[in-house]
Amino acid sequence: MKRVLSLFITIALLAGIMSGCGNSANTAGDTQGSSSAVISGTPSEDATNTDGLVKVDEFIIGCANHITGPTALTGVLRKNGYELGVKEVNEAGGIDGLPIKIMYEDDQGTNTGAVAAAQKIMSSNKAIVFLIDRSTMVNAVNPIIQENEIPTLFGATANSIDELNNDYFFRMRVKDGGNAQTMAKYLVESLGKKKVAALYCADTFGEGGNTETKKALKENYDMAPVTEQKYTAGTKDYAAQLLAIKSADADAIYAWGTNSEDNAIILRQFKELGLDKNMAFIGSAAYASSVTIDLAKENADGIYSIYDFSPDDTRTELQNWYKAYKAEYNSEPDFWCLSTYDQVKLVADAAKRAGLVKKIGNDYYIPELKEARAKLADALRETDHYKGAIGDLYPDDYQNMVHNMAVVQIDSGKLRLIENVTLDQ
Amino acid sequence: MKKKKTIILLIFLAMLAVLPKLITSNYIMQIIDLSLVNFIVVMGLNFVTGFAGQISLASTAFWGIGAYTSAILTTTCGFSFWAALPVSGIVAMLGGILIGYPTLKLKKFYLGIATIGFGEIVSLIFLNWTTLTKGSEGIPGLSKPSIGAFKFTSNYNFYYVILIIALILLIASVLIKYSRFGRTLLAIRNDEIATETCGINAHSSKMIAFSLSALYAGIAGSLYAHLIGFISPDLFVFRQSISFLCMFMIGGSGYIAGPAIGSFLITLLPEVIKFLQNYYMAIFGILVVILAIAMPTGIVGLMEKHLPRLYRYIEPYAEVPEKGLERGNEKWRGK
Amino acid sequence: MLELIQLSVSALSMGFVYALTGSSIFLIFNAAGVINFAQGALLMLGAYIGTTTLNKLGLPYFLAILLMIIIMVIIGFLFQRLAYYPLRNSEGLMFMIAGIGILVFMENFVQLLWGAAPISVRPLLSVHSINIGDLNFEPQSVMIIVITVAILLIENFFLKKTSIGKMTQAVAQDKEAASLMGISVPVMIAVTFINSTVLAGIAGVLVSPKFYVSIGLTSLLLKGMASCVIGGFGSAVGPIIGGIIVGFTETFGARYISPQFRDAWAFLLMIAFLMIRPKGIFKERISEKV
Repeated sequence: MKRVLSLFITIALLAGIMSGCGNSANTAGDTQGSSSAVISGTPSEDATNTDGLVKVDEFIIGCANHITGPTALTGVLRKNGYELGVKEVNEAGGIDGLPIKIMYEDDQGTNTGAVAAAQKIMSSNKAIVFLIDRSTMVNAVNPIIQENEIPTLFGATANSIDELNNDYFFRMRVKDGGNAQTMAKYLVESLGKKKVAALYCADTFGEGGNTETKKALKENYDMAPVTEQKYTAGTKDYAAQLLAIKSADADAIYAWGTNSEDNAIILRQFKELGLDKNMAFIGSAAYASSVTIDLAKENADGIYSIYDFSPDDTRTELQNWYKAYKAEYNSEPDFWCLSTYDQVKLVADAAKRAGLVKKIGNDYYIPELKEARAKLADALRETDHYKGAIGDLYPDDYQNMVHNMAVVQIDSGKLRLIENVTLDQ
Repeated sequence: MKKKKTIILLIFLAMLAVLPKLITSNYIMQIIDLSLVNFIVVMGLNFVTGFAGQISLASTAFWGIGAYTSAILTTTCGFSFWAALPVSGIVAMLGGILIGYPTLKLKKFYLGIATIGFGEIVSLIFLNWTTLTKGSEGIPGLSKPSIGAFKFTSNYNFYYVILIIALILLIASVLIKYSRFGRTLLAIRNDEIATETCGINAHSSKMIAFSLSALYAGIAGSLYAHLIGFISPDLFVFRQSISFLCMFMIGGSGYIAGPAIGSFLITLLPEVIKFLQNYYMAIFGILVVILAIAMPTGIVGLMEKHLPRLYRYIEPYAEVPEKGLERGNEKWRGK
Repeated sequence: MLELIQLSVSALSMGFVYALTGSSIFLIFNAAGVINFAQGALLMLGAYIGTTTLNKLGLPYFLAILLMIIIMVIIGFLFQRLAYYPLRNSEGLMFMIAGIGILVFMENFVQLLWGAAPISVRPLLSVHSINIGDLNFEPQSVMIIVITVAILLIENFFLKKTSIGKMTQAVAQDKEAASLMGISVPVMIAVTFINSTVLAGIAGVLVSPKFYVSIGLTSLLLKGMASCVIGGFGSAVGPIIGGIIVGFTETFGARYISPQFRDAWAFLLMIAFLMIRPKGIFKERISEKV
């Protein structure tokens, strides 16, 4: 008992000491962090114009990717897109001569993992820009991005990200609101459907997508879905949901889900339970991804989807990317590969516009980290119709950069372009 | 011997106090903070699984209840962290009483399954009760606490908050283990029916142990939420209960030093082997299997057997038992 | 009415999947007194091996399945030798942890060997849909029902009519008595493990055309355990009945009460059973020694 008491007293004393130390630990931690902002070499060894500049061998881009975990597949697709972009930029001479390189950290497909990955990248004090994905992960790393003032590009589509009002965020895919508008419009105006049913996943993407589609239906056509069927990701059997939709007498289903296996099972059961006889099916982007189509095979035929692109779109930049991807990886690219490719190319373009890289003699110099990040962010905000593979890139009020998408239909396992849609501002 | 132990203890505490000064990476600091949070949950698990011998796979549910309670109280109801923390613990504890009452009447495996089932249900509630928990979006923007004008904003100074709370809870668990109540629990673990014949109501004792584990987990949940600043339902899944159980078993069931060793090892291990890139999670799985097979009494149990002197340093009130009566020599019979 | 039939077929097929998984868990629990948490991993592994034998090797269907079974036999043997045997005397908890370690390892291992993309498997019946009048049935659901019944009959024959089967049953009932009768307990436990592993593998291959092969298959473990609890460990029929009940509860619960809480219905039922009738429908005949 006595020992425990003395322990207690010791701890109380230590507590007192530590709260005093608390302050210095705080600043010590901070200064420790910023003092290693020097990447290599010391700024004080100057030639005349290297004040505030740092010598580097590469332009480092930080990236939180799914290397392990349930979403590892998406990670591979994203990486393919990233690396294709890196290859093209470096083959064209990098950023004014300086090659770029991506520093990957594994987020394990979870939010905690994303936070850890972001922390790790920030701690290395080398990354000038940060790349990430998935709406919940973007939410999770929001405070870290704000604190480090690092421009961040991502493809996550949840509308709610706009509300974070983080002006270091740059969204590189059309957000859910836009996709939902197009979905609703196509269902009602082009397909003439009157009784639509919702089938969506119980995660941020699915819920957000459903909310936005309902909103678009209500505001523009005063329509509401006849039934809304929700499911948890990873569900293996959708008979309950599909039969409920059938008994509600719907003439179309709009579906929001990211998981390819779930989507493929839904499409298969949609056909096998006979719903395709009197119902149209329009799905979010993942429904038209090559992974889903490979799984669902002929069950995907006839399905519509709001997709980022269509391979039979003749636009030059898109075709260049499409051909380059197929040549490099010998497989069909997905929207995952498109957005990430454009992210890298846009970063290189913005860095050039910001004049970040200075060549002095045989060495390359960029500004100190904080300034480099700020300049890059400014350049990104000033992007004026950069011709990306996905389309024209320019920021709106929330720094969403992409404003066009395609309505596609799957035919014999391939995507057929139905129409290109550009969102009005 | 006692004096020596006390000095070593004080040195150890001093080291803990200055630890943040030695850590240069913000990221490693966060890992250490996370280890401490896990440590608290695993300490709680010690009450119900270590002392009382009941299988609980519901720790994540209580951890989640604590985290969500704290998040909701601080964001929607304007509570301060210091107020939210104990409330989260208490709410989780109430959850423990609620869930414990019916399930603790079951034996071993059935109890385990019931706790899994409850865990799954709680997880689904987090995901789908959107009005309360904001569903899959999660709750962002959880702020760090402050005392007066001083705000614990970084991983470095929040460390002290977590550390002190962890130490207080640690002392509590030592006091409980060596109290009459603690001995009751150990008796129940050994032979429940025999204990009941001595006139002890095993069910209420188990309930108290279970509620304590829920309390600890709830407090840890609140700390976690404010450490990371963001929580979402995908954190509170069955897999996490397994992690906690792993930390617990590998550290050593029933020992005081067990939870600390187990939680730090399992939290830090993936980081250490991360250089193996794609293979590191697979190797982690194998390491867990090897640890489980080679060290069924946990690391501390192994120390008790083979390194008794070291064991006596780290384990308060450790007694080295007579030959033949050591832990691990009991034959496990029955289901 | 039509819908009820379609729903029931779906429920029944899911139920049989859980029944198979539950049976494999039941076998080990009865024989060795431990819960094998690696069952989900073994199921998934069986499914992945099935993709190679079915898709890559181009063998006729039954030959491919046979090859998978042979591989699963080897794996079952290795598994019990490496993971169970050293732990046979410790508390069951450690075996559980080992099972979990295997689960984590397996999930990453299959991704390393087979890639991260989910894989589809060619089904036995290449029909698009089975139509009976106005009703459309998923061919794989019907397949699952038919094949599971066949397998369960074979299992039953093995356990009740062959001498090896009877010996494993003896070990399951009372280890000491069995060894006194000259039955080698470790060998019989090994046989049980192999039996269980093969069952898990078959379950994995059966569901592959329906669920596609990915690491998501491991979630069947919990439903399998719920089936065992509800059905009880007293009889081999227990997990089967339990599985069917779970299948129906979750399908009808999802349809008429709440689709997103689908999994919750099964677990609530399981918990209800635990409260009211913990030994399940078919009570265990073994009492606890004081």
